[in-house]
Amino acid sequence: MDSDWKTQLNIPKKDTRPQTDDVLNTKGNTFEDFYLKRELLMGIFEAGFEKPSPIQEEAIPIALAGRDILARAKNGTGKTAAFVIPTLERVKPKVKKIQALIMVPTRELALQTSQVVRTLGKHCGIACMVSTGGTNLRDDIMRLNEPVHVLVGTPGRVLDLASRKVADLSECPLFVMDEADKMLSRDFKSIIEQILSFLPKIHQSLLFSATFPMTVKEFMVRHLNKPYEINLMDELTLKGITQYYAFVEERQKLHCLNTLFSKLQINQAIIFCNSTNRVELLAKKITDLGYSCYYSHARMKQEERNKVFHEFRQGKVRTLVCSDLLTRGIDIQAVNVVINFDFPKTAETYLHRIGRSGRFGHLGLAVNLINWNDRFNLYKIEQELGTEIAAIPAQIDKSLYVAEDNSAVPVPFPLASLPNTTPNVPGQSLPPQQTHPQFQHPQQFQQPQQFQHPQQFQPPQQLQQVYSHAYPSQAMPPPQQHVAQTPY
Amino acid sequence: MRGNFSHKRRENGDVSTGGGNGNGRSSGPSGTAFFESEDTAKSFDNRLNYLLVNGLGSEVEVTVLSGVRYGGVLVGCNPENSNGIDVVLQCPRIVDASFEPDEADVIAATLKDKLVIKAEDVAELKFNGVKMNQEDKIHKPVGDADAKDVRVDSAEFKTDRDISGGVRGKERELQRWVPEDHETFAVGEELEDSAAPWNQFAVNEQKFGIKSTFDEHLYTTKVNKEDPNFAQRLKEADRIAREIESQGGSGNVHLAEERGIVVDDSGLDEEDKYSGVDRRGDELLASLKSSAKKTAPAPKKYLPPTLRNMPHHNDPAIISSVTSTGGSSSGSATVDRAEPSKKVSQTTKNNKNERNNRLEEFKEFSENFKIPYDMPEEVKSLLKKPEESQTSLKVNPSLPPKPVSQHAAQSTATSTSTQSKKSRNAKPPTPSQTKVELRKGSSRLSSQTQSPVSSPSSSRYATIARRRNANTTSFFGSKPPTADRPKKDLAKNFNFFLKSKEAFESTQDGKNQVVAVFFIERPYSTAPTWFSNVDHSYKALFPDERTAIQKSQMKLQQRNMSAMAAAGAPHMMGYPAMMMGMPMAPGGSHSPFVGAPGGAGGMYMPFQPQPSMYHPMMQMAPAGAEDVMSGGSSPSPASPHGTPMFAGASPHQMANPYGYMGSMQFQPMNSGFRQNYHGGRRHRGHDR
Repeated sequence: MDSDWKTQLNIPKKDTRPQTDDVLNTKGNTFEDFYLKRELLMGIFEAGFEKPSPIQEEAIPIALAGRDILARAKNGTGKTAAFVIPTLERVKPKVKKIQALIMVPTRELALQTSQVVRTLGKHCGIACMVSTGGTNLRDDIMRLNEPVHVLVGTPGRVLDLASRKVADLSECPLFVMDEADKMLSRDFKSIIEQILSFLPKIHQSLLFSATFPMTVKEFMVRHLNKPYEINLMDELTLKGITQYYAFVEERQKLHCLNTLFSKLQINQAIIFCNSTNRVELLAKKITDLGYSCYYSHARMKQEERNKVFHEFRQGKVRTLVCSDLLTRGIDIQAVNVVINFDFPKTAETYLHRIGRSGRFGHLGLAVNLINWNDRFNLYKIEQELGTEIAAIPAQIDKSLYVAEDNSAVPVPFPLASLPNTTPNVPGQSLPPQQTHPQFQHPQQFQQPQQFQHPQQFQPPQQLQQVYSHAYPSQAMPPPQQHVAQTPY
Repeated sequence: MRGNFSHKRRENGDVSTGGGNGNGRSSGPSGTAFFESEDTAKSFDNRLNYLLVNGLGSEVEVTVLSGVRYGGVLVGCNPENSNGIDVVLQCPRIVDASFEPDEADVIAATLKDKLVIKAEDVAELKFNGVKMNQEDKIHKPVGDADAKDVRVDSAEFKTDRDISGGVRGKERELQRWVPEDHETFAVGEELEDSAAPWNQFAVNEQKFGIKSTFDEHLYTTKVNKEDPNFAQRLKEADRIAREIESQGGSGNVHLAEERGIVVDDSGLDEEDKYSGVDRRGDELLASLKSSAKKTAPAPKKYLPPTLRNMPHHNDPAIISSVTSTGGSSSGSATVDRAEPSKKVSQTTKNNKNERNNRLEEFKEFSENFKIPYDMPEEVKSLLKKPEESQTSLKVNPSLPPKPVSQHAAQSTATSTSTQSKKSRNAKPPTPSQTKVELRKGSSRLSSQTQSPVSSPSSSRYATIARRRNANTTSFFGSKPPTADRPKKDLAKNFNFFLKSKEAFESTQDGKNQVVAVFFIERPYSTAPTWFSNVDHSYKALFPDERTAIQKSQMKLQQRNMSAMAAAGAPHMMGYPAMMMGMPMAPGGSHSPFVGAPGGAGGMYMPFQPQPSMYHPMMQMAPAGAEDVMSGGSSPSPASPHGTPMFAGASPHQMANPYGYMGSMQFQPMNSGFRQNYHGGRRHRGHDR
């Protein structure tokens, strides 16, 4: 076991989609070069990580050395793992105290971050807890009676728990902030500073974000100790994302969206609206058009938000309509198209929104529906980002955003690892049935991404059976197949 | 500085440093030249080493024993040699051959990339311009201010704008999206057209067979129910939970949200809350903005966030262009062409609707607008007084005679004033009076809409009437303040240290296990009024006196130019519409300066290039010029406003430090107010 531990690993199928320099431009280090503990390495490799991305290569050794870090790297280039890996390495499972506090701005992002901690730390014996608003506070207090090593949460809830000594942060040497620019924005900053007063005087801080529209110098001077600054960006936008605008009238937006749906080869799409009301209405319209669609915004109940978030990440639904609640940090590898149904106000929002596609250096497409009133905002944001957005062409080259092989796109939880699913159940909870099959290229139906490790839970012939059960379209190719292939 | 710095005895070869002038000794054993104690020797040694270390990489000249002098960059030396110092030169050349030139050529031909000179051969080592000071090394010589700025910038963590450079994204013609002809889609369908709540899970399950598998334990830890003390712990947890949740939001949206408190956040959208970084520094303005937003009704139609709460978003120019281009887009064109007459009537109807909507919005705004502070007693009493003086103003004989309404207003006003004399408490005025006022107000509005260029006299009257007629009801609504309320103790009630201490103690008592931090929140902070974030000092941002003067001269010129351009510039289209709705229309701008030559309502007066305007323009023009810039919205980088630090920024950013387009559109109003301020004051003087 000692020498051949790597052969014992349960490594997922390799994601063969092409990647850009945003994640490939490394010095060539490997994860083993960081002298991480064996259990952590196992978790890393089993999560499908092969080599550290540039930001991981920069940040991990410095963080392991105990220095404060202020880092920026583009959307979806591996920032989360860049702070989770050193966190896991430094946390001692035998010490039954909170040893790392990870702060994020939204509840969904907290769930996701926690899931990453748990996935990478699978073999480390570390308890990671999420604490956000909208969940049962009493349960959170009960959870903290048990040992918790890593606490991931939103500032409001964590401050409440810490100020009542429910969450004991007095021996928490590691403080991490994701989306640091938002966390240091005026609305969050005072909460963060109060939380910091519960941490020991000497602690390590790791600050990460893709955007810094304002300097955070004041905070740096007051709370960071000689921070090591990492800036891997010489441009703001991702290389893999192609951006277009469609200049439409307000009442044409739906029409335009419908056209996009029928023309684009969408794997999964996120559509952003600017008000909660519009989010709901648009999602309704999309289901009326015959596409499966969930929506999420901050005025919903948290259980519903969690459900939507989880199912969309699992790839069960093709489309998600949401507000800016899910603009930052949400990592869904299968998303290849982002549509700004409404154009955002600020450049950082725009950047984070379009960064929902093209994760980890993959290719993606961003389409902005611009109306007459949005045009100055478009110029302004273009200027701030130093980019120019082109008008949408009649035909969009598939190679810009469609991967040839989508079979190995990672999902957060392989079906086999889901607790409530027996080998036979997956057949019932498969990807959405499209009443408009041109929504997606029919070929992709044959290799649904959920089946990453079919051999683990099912003999192949049985699998085939499940397929044909779930996809009658496979036996009888949909008549609309030609629609998808006709040039626009 | 010369001679034998080393305690090592040098047989031959002196090392002369620091210029090699003076009494460089030729040769000979020189061990006895100095009396050297151990200490002295050591300190000389250290100095030599220091010199060599600092000299590495600098230009040196080495004279060898043969008399030839070589120049080059010192890349290495070895002071350990007992004979002196070995020297390595990069890019050697012959500086002084001291023989016949032809021999020098021979030597030069043999020189390669590097030249190693043994210590034995070194007669003199001369450094040129070595920096001996660490400070000098770190702070590179600062030639000019620009170089300094660059250094500062590169030292700081870069913001987004630093990275992007912000060069692209010019204003340009956008290419309209054209739907394809064969497509049949319900044209013109907007989202808001159908609004009914729906259950996404039910619909998606029914239509697409999607079921949920969410389990929170995939993400978080389990609650241990096997614990022997489970029941007790549960009780305790329950108690703490209730305590936390009953705390209130502490004025922070995020805290309130996480405690499950529903706060009115209609002023914020989810972009503000979860994604955008607030660039505003000014708390007061922010609170004004958000409180004003609260009263605005939810718009029935979608508005882009930049335009929300802005009554003038329905710019007639925009509306007409939208309606006209809307007809021309091929999809709907076929339908429209069939019934052209109907379409025309629709557009006019639309326009009328728009106008009504706008009026409604203005009305609602003025009715609901509240200053988000309690009004101090002093101010309240001040506000009451003018009521009494109104009567005298109103009967001013210089006013043109006006029909009944004035009479009514006058008489009721007198009656209220006598009433108020009787009882100091301001009684809510009679309903009849408010009615009169309302009618008057609306009649004025309608008259203005019909003829924006109203005659000077009527507009003048209207302004006065409106202003003087202010009374407690119209100002405070149904809750007029009373004067006999006990005066608050200023020292106590407004001392926020005391207040926060009180608040802290009230949360403390009875709950001793609650360990909260005593945290005084600043009641407000005033951000710099210049465009920046908080981190820079004003000194870094503003030019020194001399450049400021130059700038202002340039601005003066620009002002004249832009004033010319502004008169009748097409982008001022939205202007009259806006003015009309303003509580104080600038009809009163009949100042001695403006009135005579202009004559026509004075609406655009400040922008007209009239010589007599020169004085008022001194005050007005900055705002006016900015309007022109932002109204035109041409982000030309060569803005004449640009102070050095703005050089890269667009005029947008200047007019509008918060990064939101919205505030830009408010600019014209500002100038309107200002103008009115002047005009109004003059009036008062006149009338008395």
